Amino acid sequence: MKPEILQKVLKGCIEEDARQQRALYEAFAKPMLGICLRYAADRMEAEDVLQLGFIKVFKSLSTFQGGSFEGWMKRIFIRESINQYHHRRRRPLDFMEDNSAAIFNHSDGFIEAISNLSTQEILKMLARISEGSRIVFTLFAIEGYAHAEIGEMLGISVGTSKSQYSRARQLLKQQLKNHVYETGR
Amino acid sequence: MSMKQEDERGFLSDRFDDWSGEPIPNGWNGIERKLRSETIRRRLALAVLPVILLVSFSVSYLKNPFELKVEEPLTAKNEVVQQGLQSGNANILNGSAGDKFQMSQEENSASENPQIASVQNENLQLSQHQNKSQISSTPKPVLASSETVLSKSVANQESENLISETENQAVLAGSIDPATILSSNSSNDEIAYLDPKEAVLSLNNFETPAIPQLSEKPVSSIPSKAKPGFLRSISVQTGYAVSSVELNSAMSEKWKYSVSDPSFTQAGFASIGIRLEQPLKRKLSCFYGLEIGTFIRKSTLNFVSKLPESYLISSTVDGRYSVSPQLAGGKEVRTSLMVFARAELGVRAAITRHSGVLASVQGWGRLGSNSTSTNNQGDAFVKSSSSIAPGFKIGTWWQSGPFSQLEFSYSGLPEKLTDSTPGIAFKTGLLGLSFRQSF
Repeated sequence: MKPEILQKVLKGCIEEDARQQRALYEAFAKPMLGICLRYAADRMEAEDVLQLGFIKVFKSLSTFQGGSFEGWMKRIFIRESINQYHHRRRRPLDFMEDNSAAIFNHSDGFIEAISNLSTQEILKMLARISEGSRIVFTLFAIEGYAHAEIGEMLGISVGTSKSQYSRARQLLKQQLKNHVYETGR
Repeated sequence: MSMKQEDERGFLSDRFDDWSGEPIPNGWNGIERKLRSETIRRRLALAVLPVILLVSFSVSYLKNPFELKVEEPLTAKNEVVQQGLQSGNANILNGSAGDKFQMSQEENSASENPQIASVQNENLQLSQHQNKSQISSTPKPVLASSETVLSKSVANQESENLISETENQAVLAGSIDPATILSSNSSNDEIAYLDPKEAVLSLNNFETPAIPQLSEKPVSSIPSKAKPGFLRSISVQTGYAVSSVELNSAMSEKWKYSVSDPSFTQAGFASIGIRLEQPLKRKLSCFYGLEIGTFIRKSTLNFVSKLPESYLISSTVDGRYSVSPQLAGGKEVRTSLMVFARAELGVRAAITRHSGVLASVQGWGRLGSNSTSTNNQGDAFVKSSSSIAPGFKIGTWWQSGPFSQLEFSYSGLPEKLTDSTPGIAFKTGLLGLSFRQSF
């Protein structure tokens, strides 16, 4: 969406113009649903988070200070996805305080191996690991948040965030081995 | 090691930049519905809150009315300048505030045991004569009456003014004679009836009612509690009341004053209501409604005495004297407040797709009322004995949204519900604008 058109749409959304709100939804629904799918347990939950996220966007649009609108929206949807997970479980994410898993071998070829997979295959592998580790891995490796930011978002310590990432990495490595064994790649 | 982990931060972000999902086709409908319901709730809250506050304020006001200060006592309307004439029998009135002022009026028919309090300043001596007497245990309620008499006379002809004010108030409080109650109760003794509190039911005589035989009925014949097709709506209404006031001849004679400007009246109302609507035909429906609201009216009455209160004697150029009558005047602010409920039964017809007309008959009920006056120059307000009265409403409506309507209506306010003063007739019509939301 062009910046000038986006400005017009945002102005209309602030004035609660239903047509402009719909235009904003149609422009950003697909990428935001992609974000929701990374965190949600299933597609239905992702659709729910998409609805809640857009409602929150429309309600807090007047607080948008400028900059990258898509980045601002993206943060809202990530936070909404995490909130939805908390709400669904009715308790905070249960992260085990364990710093030992933070020690890992960086030159193990993990990055090269996972980079050879398709996006869909990565998501399938992520879906098989525990939710806590998956969320930390997604926030760190895909969204690019620092461990300090992740710790703040999830209410955990930086060390726990790092250990959860290492745990996710180890689990993914195991799946990569199985994948190579099954596909021969 | 930590540095190495930090190197992997966001290493997959490029892979997901263009990755997106495909929302369900009607995904927007759910968002729109939630947004709309929140907007409606917010607007309703904004509209309903002031009305609730107003009604609450009115109810609390009726319980504990605030004390009103007398704004402007009866004073001479025109300023009179004394021309130096001194006469044994002439009364000379100088009416500027605090200046030389002389006025005489005697009207006191119910004074008993007068008490005089006098305050003397340099140029002012004020005598206040006040008497209050209460008569209780009268068989019939008697309307309270008050009478104020200003008596002013010249006490010192050498530029000292003496103002004596005598105020007599006779309050006759009505009560019900206990003998009347006893005689009323004794007449009921002749009627045989069973007091439920003293009734004793014997289990021996208790018979189990026969269980009715169930029979199959077609579904259509079974009455349903939730009548299909009823449209429920909630409304808030506010508006301006068009009032006119008249002083009839009897009151004019009694007061010895006439209303010089009765037209300055401010009145308004606000209400909140609920309505059930039943479609009759494609363009016609009937509705039942119930509203509760507040009506307030503030009237400013300017009075002018019918008879001269004094005469101005002035010398002319040719050495003669001219005598001109001076009329006293006064201003009174009367405020009436009423909390009402009204039920209505009416029909609503569509003229176009989004607009039409409506008409209804109404039953008004007074839940509470209070009236105050800044100057009890006339009789006190009289509470109406009637607390219900019929009324009507006509108006137009406009469909402002899929579930919202605007209504502009005119309805007559039954004046018999409001506190009244004998001789003053108000005619009030309510022009109202209401917002109605279906749910």
